[in-house]
Amino acid sequence: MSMFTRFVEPGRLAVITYGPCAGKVCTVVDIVDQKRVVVDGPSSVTGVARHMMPVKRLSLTDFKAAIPRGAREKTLKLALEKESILKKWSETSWGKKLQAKETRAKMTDFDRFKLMVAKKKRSALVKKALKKK
Amino acid sequence: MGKFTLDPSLQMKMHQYQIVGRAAPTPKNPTPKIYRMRMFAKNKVLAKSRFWYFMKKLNKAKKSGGELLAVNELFDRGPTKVKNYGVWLRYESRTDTHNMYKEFRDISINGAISQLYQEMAGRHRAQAGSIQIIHATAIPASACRRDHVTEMHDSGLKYPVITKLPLVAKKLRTTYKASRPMTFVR
Repeated sequence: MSMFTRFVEPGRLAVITYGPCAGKVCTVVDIVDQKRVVVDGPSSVTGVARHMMPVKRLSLTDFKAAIPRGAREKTLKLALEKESILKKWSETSWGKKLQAKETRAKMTDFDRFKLMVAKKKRSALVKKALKKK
Repeated sequence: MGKFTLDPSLQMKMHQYQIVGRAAPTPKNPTPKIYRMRMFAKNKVLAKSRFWYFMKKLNKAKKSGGELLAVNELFDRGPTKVKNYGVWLRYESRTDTHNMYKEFRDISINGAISQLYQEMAGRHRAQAGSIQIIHATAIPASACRRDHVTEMHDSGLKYPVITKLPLVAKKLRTTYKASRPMTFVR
């Protein structure tokens, strides 16, 4: 039994936790040294262009695409699609949480108002159901 | 999706310039020898200054009696590909002048040179003014000599993240925390 299950390796899906891309997912494509890796969204999928990034700013996930080191964007995209990794990712609770956070941040004032109204409706129904008993 | 913006903190501070110049033509010497140099500097001004520093040593030409024929910035090919860089340099320590060869792994030569200046300052207390870069180039993996570079060449290379300190957005950083950070990672 090894101690670690998640490694910094080509194909590893990771969440960016800091910087302009914070909150987006990306894939490790190549390793520069012990501190830095090259990541790629690919930009057409997650909006992260291929660039170098410190490992410090990444959180590794359980998913890994089968790609060789320094794979091209096309290969990476195919590998991600083949195992439907991003779909699997969006089904995990971590992925859902990030998604919820993003939708919440994107809400307009009117959206928040609609949310408030919906919440009120729901609590009214709950209260009503509880009172009956 | 808008234009992708790279975090400025990830961008390299060094730039590579190509500078072509010569001593100004005189009736005595109407066609002075033309020199072309690849300079690494933070900006164009410093690069030009460094060019004249070397020109003074090479021949009788300085800024006041010379002319620049071209100053261009050079950009790397394949700025998303990891490469090995070999740098031959000369630097002046407190006691003597030394020649050195160093290797770096980076995606651009500017990054490698930035690393070089950091390392020379850290390990040898040598500042930029006392370092002369003789030659800097990308080298194939087979030509690499330094362990810290060759150990990254394994095609099945992987390593775990052992501990992690949370990186908090700057405006949310505080001196005192309510709870200890979770540094454990799987």
